[in-house]
Amino acid sequence: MTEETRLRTFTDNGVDVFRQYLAQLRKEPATAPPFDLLTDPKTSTDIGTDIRVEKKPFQTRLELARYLEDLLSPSTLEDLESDRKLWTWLSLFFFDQACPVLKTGIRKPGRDYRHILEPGYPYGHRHLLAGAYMVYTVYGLGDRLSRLLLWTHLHVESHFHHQLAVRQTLITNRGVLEAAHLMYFNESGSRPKRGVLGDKKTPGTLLRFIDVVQQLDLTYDLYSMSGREILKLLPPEFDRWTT
Amino acid sequence: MIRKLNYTGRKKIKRSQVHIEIVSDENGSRSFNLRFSLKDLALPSNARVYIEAYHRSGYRRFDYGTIEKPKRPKDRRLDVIPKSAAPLFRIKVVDRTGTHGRILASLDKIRPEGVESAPAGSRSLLFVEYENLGNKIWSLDLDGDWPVLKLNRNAEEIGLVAGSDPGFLSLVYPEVLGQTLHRIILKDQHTDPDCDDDWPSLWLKLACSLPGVGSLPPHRQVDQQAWIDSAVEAFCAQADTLEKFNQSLQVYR
Repeated sequence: MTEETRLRTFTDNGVDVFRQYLAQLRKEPATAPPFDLLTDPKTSTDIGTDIRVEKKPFQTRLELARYLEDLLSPSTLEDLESDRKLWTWLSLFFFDQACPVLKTGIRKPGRDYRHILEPGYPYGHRHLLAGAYMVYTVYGLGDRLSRLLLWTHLHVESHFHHQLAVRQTLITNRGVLEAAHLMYFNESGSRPKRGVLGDKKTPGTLLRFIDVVQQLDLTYDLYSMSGREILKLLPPEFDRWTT
Repeated sequence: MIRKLNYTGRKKIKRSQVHIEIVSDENGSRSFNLRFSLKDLALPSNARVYIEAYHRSGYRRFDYGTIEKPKRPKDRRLDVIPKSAAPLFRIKVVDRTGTHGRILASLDKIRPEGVESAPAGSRSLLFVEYENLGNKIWSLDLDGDWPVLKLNRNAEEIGLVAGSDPGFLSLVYPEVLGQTLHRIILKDQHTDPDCDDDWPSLWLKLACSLPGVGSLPPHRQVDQQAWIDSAVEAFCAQADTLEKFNQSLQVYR
């Protein structure tokens, strides 16, 4: 396997064998990834494009999302965001980053849906690669607004992504995401501010923000508002983050 | 019991006041036509009307002008929504005269009347979508905005089978009803059929209207499970599922 190869896709069998590998990895965490599945004709197949995918390192999921946009958006692949076999193939291709060897010498893959796309609600967005692509490209949040959700390493799903991307009315609303970004993202540190991930009972936390926004959505036309306009609607418990 | 409260005096638009039809052009590109009549709500003439189409990750908003001067946007394409999916719509009437746009009236989860949204089984309660389901023939998705019967698009003639095959009808739709009622009543604890016109209430109304079923016991889970079972049995009796199933076996005789 070279560091760059022609993009392929799994067959159904390929997905099944990869799933078996994940199960095996949970039992024996030092099991090496079966990279040969990527090119074995029994488990993968050509997709008829000339796209070449490169095994380059990404510091964050945002970097990955940018790369995937450049890689995939010019293509004419149909139903790309729900293409389970393609995204699963990509997961194995980038497996050293999506499920890296930890300092203890083992890999921890987590649930299958992090690596094998289960399109749609409730797990589609939790695929580590497709989820990042959805935020950046499909929802069109781009460089600035994606940072809050995709600031983590490739193998880590941030709480912001987990909580916001699953809610259709939030993830499709740029004003709401801009408000969250303005409050919670530390521009100088390129990561979220500390102390925003408390529970629903803690004033000003992300979960409180979601609760409050869902209430405001019943009264105000949030889709027509900018992030700053939405911030003005928030109760004083959020002042700590807005001032 | 879940009830929805309206503290802000928003007016409720009735479903009968809004009609949406999905149309396709010769290239298969979809758009929609909208008819609405909101005169009886006495809304301010300068209030703006917005239509939002959505499905999963797809969302698009359309400006329909004001109450006094509705203006149909030229571009009403639904290109952000997969062709295999039936989008839902919401209509909002918004007061834009203040600092923030306040919603004066709204209606959500409007089901289009176009061919692509034609539901199977119960005509208005269940959407049908075609997806790659691996080796599964069908699945029921109750986690979205509206119940969806997903059919494996790789299964031959699956649309025809789901709409008319007596074997499929007798085996699948009672299970769909049972799973849906289980979700509504036992998991989500929604027990009031008159609460609103969202899908849980509509499904409860359907179940209550089946012969001999009656109203839902309000408390004990064991009684509610028995009620669900009786609703499914009544549905089967009404739909002649046993007869349909036996009929489907004719080909083996």
